[in-house]
Amino acid sequence: MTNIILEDITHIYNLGTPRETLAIRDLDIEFPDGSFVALLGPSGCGKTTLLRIISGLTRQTRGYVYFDGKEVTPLTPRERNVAMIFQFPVLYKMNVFENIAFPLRCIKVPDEEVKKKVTEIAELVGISHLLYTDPRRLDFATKQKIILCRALVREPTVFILDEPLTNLEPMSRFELRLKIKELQSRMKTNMIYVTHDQTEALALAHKIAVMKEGEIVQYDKPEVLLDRPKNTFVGFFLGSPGMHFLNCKLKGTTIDFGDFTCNIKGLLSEDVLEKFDNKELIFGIRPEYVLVSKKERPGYIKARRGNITNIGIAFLVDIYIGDKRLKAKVKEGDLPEEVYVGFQKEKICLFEKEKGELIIKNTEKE
Amino acid sequence: MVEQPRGIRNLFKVENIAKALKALYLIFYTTFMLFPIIWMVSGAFKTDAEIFSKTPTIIPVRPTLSNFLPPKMPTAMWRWLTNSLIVSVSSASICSLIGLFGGYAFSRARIKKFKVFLNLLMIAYIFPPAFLIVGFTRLVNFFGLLDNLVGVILVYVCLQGPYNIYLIYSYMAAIPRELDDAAEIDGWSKTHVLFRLILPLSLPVIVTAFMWTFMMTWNELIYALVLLNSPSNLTMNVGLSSLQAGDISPYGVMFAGATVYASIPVVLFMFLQKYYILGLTRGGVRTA
Amino acid sequence: MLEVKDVSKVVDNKAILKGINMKVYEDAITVILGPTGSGKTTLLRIIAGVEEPTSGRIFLDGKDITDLAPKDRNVAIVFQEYCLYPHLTAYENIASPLRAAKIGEKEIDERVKRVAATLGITDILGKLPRETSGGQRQRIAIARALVKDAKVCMLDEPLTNLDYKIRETMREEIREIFKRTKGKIIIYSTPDPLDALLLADYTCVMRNGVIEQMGKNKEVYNKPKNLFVAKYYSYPPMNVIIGQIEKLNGKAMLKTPWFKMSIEGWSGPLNKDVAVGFRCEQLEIVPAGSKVDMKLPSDKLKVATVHRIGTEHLIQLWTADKNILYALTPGDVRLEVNETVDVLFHIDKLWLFDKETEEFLGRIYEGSAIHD
Repeated sequence: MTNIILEDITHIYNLGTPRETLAIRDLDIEFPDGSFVALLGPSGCGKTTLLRIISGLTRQTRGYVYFDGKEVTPLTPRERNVAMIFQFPVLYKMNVFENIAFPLRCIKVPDEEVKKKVTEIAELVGISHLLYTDPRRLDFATKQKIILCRALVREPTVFILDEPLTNLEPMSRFELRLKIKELQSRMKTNMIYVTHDQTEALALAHKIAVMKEGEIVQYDKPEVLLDRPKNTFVGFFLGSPGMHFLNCKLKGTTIDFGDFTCNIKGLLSEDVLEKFDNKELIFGIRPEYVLVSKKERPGYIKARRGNITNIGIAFLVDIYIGDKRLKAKVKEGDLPEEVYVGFQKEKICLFEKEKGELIIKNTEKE
Repeated sequence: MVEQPRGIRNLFKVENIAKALKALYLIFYTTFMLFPIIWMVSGAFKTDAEIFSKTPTIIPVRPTLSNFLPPKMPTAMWRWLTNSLIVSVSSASICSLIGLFGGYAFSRARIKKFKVFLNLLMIAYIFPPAFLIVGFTRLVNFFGLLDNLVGVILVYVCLQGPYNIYLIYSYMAAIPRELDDAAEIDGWSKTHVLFRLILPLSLPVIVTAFMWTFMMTWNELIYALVLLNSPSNLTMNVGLSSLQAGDISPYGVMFAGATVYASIPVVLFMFLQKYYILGLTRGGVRTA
Repeated sequence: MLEVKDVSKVVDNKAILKGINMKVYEDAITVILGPTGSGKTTLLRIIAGVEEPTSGRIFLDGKDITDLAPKDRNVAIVFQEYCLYPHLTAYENIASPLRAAKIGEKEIDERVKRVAATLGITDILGKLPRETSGGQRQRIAIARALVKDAKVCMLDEPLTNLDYKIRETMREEIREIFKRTKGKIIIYSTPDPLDALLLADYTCVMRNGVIEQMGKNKEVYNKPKNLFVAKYYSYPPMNVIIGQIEKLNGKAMLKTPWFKMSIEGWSGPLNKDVAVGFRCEQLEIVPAGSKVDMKLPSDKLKVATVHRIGTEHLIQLWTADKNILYALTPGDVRLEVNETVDVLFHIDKLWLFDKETEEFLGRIYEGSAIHD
C-alpha cells in the first residue's frame, strides 16, 4: 500500500555510445495507494523500461522516484520491497511449498509462521492441493500461480507484473486474470501491470496509462479512455477492433463527408463550433456505435454491406458508404445487401487534423 | 550528461573515492605489466652499450637499427619467423575447419547420446600439455616427422582441435535449428546450409577460435623445443631462446627479434577484429 | 488434396502424435486449433518434411511424398519464429527459395517484387531483419513462403509473437491474401480460438497428439463432439454446469442446481451425471430494479470481475460452489466487483456431455433433444 510518484523521468540506453536510444522522455506519473494501473502500449514504447525503473532494476538517467514521499532511487529492488512477476516463471528445484516459502526463509522467518503464511496464500490462489508436489511437471498456468504466491507471501509495497499472461492459452488467461484481480482487490496492494493486450488492461485496471514512443499519451480510467480518447492513437489502440476514422469537414452543425452528411447538433459548444468551422477534421467512431438497420430511419444513410465475420459474441460487418469504408459491430448477422447506417451521436469523437487531438466538448464532467 | 540526483551527496562522495582508488590501482598495475614490453621495444633500438649503461633510458638516446640487420641479426631469424607463421596459421586454420564441421555436427545432432562424445573431448584437457609430451613425441617419431614442421602442426591440431569443436559448438547451439529447416524447405542442400548460412552467422566464434589457436601455438615452447632440432626448422621462440648464452646473450638482437615476434599477433588481432565485429553486428541470431 | 494417413511420432518414449488421419482440401483455410503441446507444430513439420514420422504416410494429390526431401514436396511453411536469415536483406530472404531452385535473376526480381507489393513491404526490401519491426518480419516470412508458389502453404502460429493490435490487423490481411490465391492448400495452426473463428473454413481441434474433432468450421463450433472441444473452441469461454439425467414418470428429466426440465425425445443414457454447456450470451444479468421474468430460471450471483470487451462487458460470476460463470452485458450497465446481481438462464439451447467420458450426448433445443 504505497503511493508511488515518478517525476521528470528520462531514460537513455547506452548513453554516450553510438547506439544511444531514448527510451523514456520527461515522464510524470502517480500511482495512487492501492490502485491497479496498467501500462499499455505497442512494443518499444518504453513500458518495460518504466517498469524496471520503478522496481529499481534499471537506474534512470534523470528524474526521481518516490515511494510514499521518500526518494528511492539509490535503493535496490529488495530494499524497495517490490515483487516482480515476469513472462516466464522461475522455479527452484524444490517442491511448491518451499518455492513459495523461499523469500521468507531468506529473511529467517520462524517455521511456524512460514507454514501459516504459505498455506494461507496457497488457499487464496487455489493451489493448496499441490503444495508438496514437484513444480516442474505442472502446466504453465499453475507455475505462474506459484510465482504469484511467492510474490504475495512477501507482502511487498508494490506488485510489478511484466506481461505475465502472454504465454498462456486463452482459457487459462481468463482464469488467471480473475485470480489476479481478486487478489488485488482483497489485499489492496499496488499493482502495476504491463501489457500490449488492451482487453487485459481494460478488464483488470482501475487506471490505464497508454504509452507511445517513450511518452504517456493518456492516463485515465478505462471508461474515459474509451469514450474520450485524447487523440486518434488512443482511439485506435483501445477496443477490439479500435475506433474507425474518416476524413470530413465541419460545416455549421453538420459534418460533411463528401458523399453524405451527419448532423451533430448539441455535440460541441458554440465557440468550439466557431473555431473549427469549415476546417478539415477527423471523425472517429467505435464499431459498436455504428448503428445498422434493415429499414430506413430518420438521419440514417443508405449503405452497402460487405463481409460479415462472426466473432462469437457479435458480428463484424464491413460497411461501404460511397467510397468510404467502416466497420460495425452488431448482434444480428442476418443483413441484406442494402442497409441503413447511423451513428450514436454522444459517442462520436472529432479530432483536429494536424496532431489528431480530440476537440473538447463543452458538457464535460471531468 | 548524467545528472546527479539531489539528496544523495554522501553516496556521491564515497563513489568518487572508490573510483579514484580503482583508477590508481589500474594505472599501477598496467605500468607494472607493460614495463617489460616497453623495455623490450626500447631495447630493440638501443646499442648494446646503452642497454647496459648505468642510467637506464626508455627512449634510446642514440637509436639504432643495427639489431634488425645483418651482421647482428642472424639470417636464420627470418627463417624462424616464417616457420612460426607457417605453424600457427596452419594449426589455426585446420583447427577452425575441424571446429566448423565438428561444431555443426554436434549442434545439429538429433540423437542425444552423441553429446557424450562431446564431453569425452574435453577429458583430454584434464592433463597439462607437458604431461603428454612423451607420448606425442613417440607418435611423431613413429610417423617419421621429428624435426619437421608438419609434425608440430599435427600435434598442435590434436591439442587445440577438441577445444575448437567445443567452442564453436556452444555458439552454434544458439543458432536455432529452425533456420536450417527453413533453408532446407527453401530447397538448399545441406552443404549450402553449412557454408552459406551457418558459417556467416558463426563468423564471430570462428574468428575467435582462429585467434585463440593462433595465440596458443605462437606462444608454445615446450613441444616446439622437443620436436624441432635443426636451426633452420626452429620456430621463432625456440630460435630466440637458442641465442641465449648466459651473461653474454645478444640482448639487443633478442629484443629486436622478440619485438617483431610480439608485434605479429597484435597486427593479426587488429586485422581480424574488424571481421569479428562485422560478424557480430551483421550476424545477430535473434530473428523474432 | 493433402492426406495424412496414420501418422505417429514418438520421441524418447513419448508419443507426440498418435495416429493422425486427416484430409485437407484446396481453396480453403484449414485451421488446426489446440493448446501448446498438442502436436500441431510437429504435424506441420512432418508435412513439410523437416521431421520424419515414426509411422504413417503423407499423400499430396495422390502422390506419396513421405520419403521426399522438403524441397521436392511443393510445400512452403511460415515458422512461428519467422526464421528469417539474419545476415540477408528482406529481398534476399524472399528470393532465397527461388535462388535455390536456380531460377533466372530477372524472374526472381519480378516475383519478389510482386509478392512484396501484395504484402505491402516494398519499401523495406533493402533492410536486414533486425532493422524491421515484428509485424514487418512476419510479412517478410509470409512473402518468402508465397513466392515459392507452392501447392501447400502452412503457417505455424504466425500471430503468437505479435502485439495484440497488430494481431488484429494481420489476421484480416492474412485472410485477404489467401482469399485471393487459387488452388492452394492452406494450413494455419494456432492456440487461439479467435483465429479459428475469424479465418477458418475447416477447423481441426487437437489435444495431446490426437485429433478431437475435424470438420467445417461452423459445424465444429456449433456441434462439438466432446466437452474439451466445446470449452476450448469458444470465445468467450463456455459455461459448464453439472446436472443429472433422470427418468421421471416415463420421461427424461434434466436436473441442475438451477432448473429442472423435461426433454422430449431423449434417446441417450439415463441416470447419469452430465455436464451442461451453454454460451455466455445465454446468461442475462437483470439490471437493478427491473422485473425478473419468473418463467426463466434465475439466481442471485456475485460478480467476480468485469472484463470490458470493447464496449460490452464480460462478467465473471461466482456460483455458490465457487465455480465461474460468464455473462455478457451491454456497456452502459455499471457493475461493481462483489456486487450480487440477478441472473437469468436462457436455457433454450443446451449442450449435454457425459460428465466422466466427456463425450457429446445430445443437444437440447427448446426442450427437445437433438442427437446428431
